[in-house]
Amino acid sequence: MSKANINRLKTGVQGLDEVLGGGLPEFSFNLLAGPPGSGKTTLAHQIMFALATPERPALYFTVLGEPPLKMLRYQQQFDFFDLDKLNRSIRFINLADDLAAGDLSKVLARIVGEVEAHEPGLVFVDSFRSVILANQGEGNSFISLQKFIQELGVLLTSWQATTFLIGEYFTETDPNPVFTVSDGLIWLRQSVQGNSMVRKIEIMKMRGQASLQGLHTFRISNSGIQIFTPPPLASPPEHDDTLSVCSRLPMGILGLDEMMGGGLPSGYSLLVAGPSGSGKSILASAYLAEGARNGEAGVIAAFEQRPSQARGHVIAGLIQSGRIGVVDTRATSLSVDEISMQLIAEIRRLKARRVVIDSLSGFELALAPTFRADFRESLARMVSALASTGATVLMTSELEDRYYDLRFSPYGTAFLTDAIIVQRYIEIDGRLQRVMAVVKVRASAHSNELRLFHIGNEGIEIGERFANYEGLLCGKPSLYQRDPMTD
Amino acid sequence: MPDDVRRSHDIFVQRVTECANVGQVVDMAMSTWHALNNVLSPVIGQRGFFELYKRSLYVNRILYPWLLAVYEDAKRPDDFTGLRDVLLQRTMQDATESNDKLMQTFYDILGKLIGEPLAERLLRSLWEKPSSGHPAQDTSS
Repeated sequence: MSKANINRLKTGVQGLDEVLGGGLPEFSFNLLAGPPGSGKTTLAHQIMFALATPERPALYFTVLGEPPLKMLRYQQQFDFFDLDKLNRSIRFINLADDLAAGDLSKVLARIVGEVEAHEPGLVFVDSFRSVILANQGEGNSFISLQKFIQELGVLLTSWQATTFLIGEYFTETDPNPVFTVSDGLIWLRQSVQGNSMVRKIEIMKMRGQASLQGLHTFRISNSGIQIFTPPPLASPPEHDDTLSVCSRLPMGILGLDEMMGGGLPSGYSLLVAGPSGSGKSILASAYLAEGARNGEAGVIAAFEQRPSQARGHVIAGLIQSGRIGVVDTRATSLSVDEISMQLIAEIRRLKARRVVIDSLSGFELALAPTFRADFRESLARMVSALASTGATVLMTSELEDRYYDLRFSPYGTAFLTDAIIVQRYIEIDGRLQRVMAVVKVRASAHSNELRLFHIGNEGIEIGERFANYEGLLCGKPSLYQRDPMTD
Repeated sequence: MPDDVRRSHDIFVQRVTECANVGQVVDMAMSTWHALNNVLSPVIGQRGFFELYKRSLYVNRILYPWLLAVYEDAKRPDDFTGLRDVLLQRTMQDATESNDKLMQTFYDILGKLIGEPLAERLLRSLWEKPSSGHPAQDTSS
């Protein structure tokens, strides 16, 4: 005898199936809760329009609360609202009049009648809070709320209907009977900090499967709800590597590959740190352009300037021709998970080998304040997830020029990356000059030279090693005095 | 007004022209209002339907002053007796014209609120049902 097999339905909400732990268990009895405006009705509609078919029809019971006329008016604005499904796969039924007397047995009888008449595979009751309030207010109900919920749960399970009760103002600590009866508790929340508002979803309970713990951010756009799940941690590269693990990517700057021991090892993450104007973005552009020259697609997430702006006509042309994908960073209140998902989606779409994040400083500023405290942890997860796609990542980082300590990143991100290039300003002969050094290339020999470089019309030109000087990085350069005895 | 709703409305108007007296016009109007209520109330609620109906009466009260009394006395969502009583006291032309305009206003408000395609879809069952009007007369002989 085989065990009961739970069929998991694809909800049609991007990211929700992953958060639920593989989809929505069929015939489950769920509570969808959250404050007003958190997206409960939108989420319910999106799931309903995705799942309802003539063979698996849906009944959407509207109770008091949002007037059905308004609900229908506003929900039509979403792309998923498919008029062809109305009255064929989806039926809206108003229960306000049945509930007006506060008699839950009447409401239950009406629901039973409609379920018998239409044999739905999906049932939604919106909003369930109205049912609870009606029960509390009048006190003339012939059955208690607990009995109502139990009978409703038994009825809809035996009719093999996957059910959602939609409600608001539930307190998690209240011993509400619906919490016990329900198989799934889905909570929508809104976190407000300063002028930033972030929507989050949490699966507090989902019987029969392991859901993704914790809060996950989501956005509501014309296409509906999109949930940003944490990027998956490192796993073998997804797309076939034509280059071996030991292969290296040329950087597109004459002399830099030699400094790095033969180029940037494929699949590595590189941090380019330096003060403002030192040439980090130019180096990143050269890296992408070199990839394009070799037939490799790239993806860029630019936080400080428009991707096609100030990067020269080569990058602008590559973006225009679709050989470099751009991740939209203009949305407000971003989360690291959202950017990670966008980056990974673009990498998959273009089968991109090269990725640029310019810069981490701008990235942090673009985040909603609520995510800034966890920036380092989230970034570590993102770098790991990007590595798992097989792409080679270049990140730039703004670095305040300090001459009393040697730092490569203000976020302690240096340890996250496999390779580091540092750029600095130095003062020699009354001129501000730029120098560059390769600080780290994991598991590879590399140059330890401090090299002068210029930014000209053709980009970065690496010059000679600074011979005969010492103390350049401490802000106190001096000519190295050779000891005639050791010569 | 959505195309399908307009077609249905035209059929209604056509049937009305075949009526012999004001009583038949009012019967037909009542049967249409009850059918509209039966189709829409389960979706938008009796209250929702009632408010749309009242709003339509209010909009038309200047052009057809006899509708003002119906508006003021309307109390129950599924009760159209006020309209019936008033129309029965009018001439056939007045009754036809005022009810016709009232229904047009109702369809228009509904279409503006939930969109014409959705209104059309909700009301489709109304004209997909077998006609309850007078059978067509064979006038060839």
